Amino acid sequence: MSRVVAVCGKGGVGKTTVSALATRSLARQHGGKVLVVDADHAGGLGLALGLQPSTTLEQLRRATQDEAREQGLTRAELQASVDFQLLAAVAERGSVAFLSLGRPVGRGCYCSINKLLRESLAQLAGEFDLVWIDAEAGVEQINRDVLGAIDQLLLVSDPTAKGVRVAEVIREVAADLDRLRDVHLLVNRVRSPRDLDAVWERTELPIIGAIPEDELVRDFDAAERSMLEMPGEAPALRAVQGALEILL
Amino acid sequence: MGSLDAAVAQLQPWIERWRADGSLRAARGLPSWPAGRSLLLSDDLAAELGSPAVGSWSLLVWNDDEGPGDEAGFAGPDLAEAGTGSVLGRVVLARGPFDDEAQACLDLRDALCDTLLRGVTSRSRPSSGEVWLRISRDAVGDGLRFDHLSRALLQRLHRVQGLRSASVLWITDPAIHGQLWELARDSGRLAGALLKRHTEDLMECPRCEFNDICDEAELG
Repeated sequence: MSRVVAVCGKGGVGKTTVSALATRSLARQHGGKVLVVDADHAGGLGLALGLQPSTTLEQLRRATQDEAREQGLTRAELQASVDFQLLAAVAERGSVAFLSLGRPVGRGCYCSINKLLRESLAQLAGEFDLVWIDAEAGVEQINRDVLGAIDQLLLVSDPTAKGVRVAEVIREVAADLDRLRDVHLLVNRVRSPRDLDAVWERTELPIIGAIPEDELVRDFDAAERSMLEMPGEAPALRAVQGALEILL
Repeated sequence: MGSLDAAVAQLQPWIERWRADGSLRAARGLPSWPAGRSLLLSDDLAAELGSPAVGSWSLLVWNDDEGPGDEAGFAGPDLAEAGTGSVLGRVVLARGPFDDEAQACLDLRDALCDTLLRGVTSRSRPSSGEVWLRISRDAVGDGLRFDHLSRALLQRLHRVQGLRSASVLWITDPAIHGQLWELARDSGRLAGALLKRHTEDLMECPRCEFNDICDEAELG
């Protein structure tokens, strides 16, 4: 069974950057197959990685519904079609596969299609050693839309009180998740030891690492360069690698 | 008379021609290969055939001829030589007294989606007639070839009620692939129309995508 790690946190704290740097690290060092899922409807992880899947799961969902409506397909045929399209929707780099959920735009009843998609996605995810999900702020979405179970929750916050408070709320919601083994906090954009001290004072969440402000990350972001090309000595990348060593 | 008799009649001269000019190589036996489920990523691949980027088709036809018994073959490079950008065509001619053609079509299409072999990622999309194979380096190193895939497919096809025998051909030769593309598309549409008539009580004929070939599907 795959290990499923979900990254959550308040909007704007740098979840996507953390996931991109983690992907960069996992692609070169993990040794197993990794499925990275962009479950944030804003869909920025693909841009950060420079990986653009040919289709999103949302597009696939709508296409499958059209297919089901227009052609006399059986459930088995629809399932085969979803399996086919799901593999086609994966963008690959080495041992890392990337999948984007996309922004939901459709209306109407998708119940049966969602069931097919969930089954196909769960089967696909089961073929990987590690599934890394870059999620929206809440964890409910992961249970609803993506996968039935999360093993580890990586909360990301900047040093602000708001960011830490949202992380605390997410942890409370996540307490209901059946398979959840541990929860960690990764503090992003740390400028001084005082920033980290302030976080220590605000929360009892176990802090797994601190990512310093890093001009390289800003430069890559501004130039829309793929974080997969981030040099190994980049301080932010090294901090994420340190966190991964503890997490995984 | 079956719905796809005309398609079979069009297909057979092609096969005879390829046999005669040596393009079509018959299976060297039908050896077995261990079953298994594999999801292969690009790094693992010795061969990738029929990816959506390069194109594929699957041509499924049937009739009630006696036929030669089960047979298999391929035209073009075998798995070890195909590389990672090969086109793929798959021809399946099923023979048997399929009284309920629509049900037989459903069963045969299901069978085509159900091949699980170690070191092979196989995807079939019956609605669009696409077939996509990824083959691992280990599998090719251990000698996997089309003959193994043919055996697995024939075994699965024989679980379809009424099937007497079948011919399975794999096409990786780009020229031959191009020659059969239209026949595969037209046969796929005909099967689609047959199934739509079977599964729906359609009242909107003018809006139906199979309106132009509906009469042909009714033949069976």
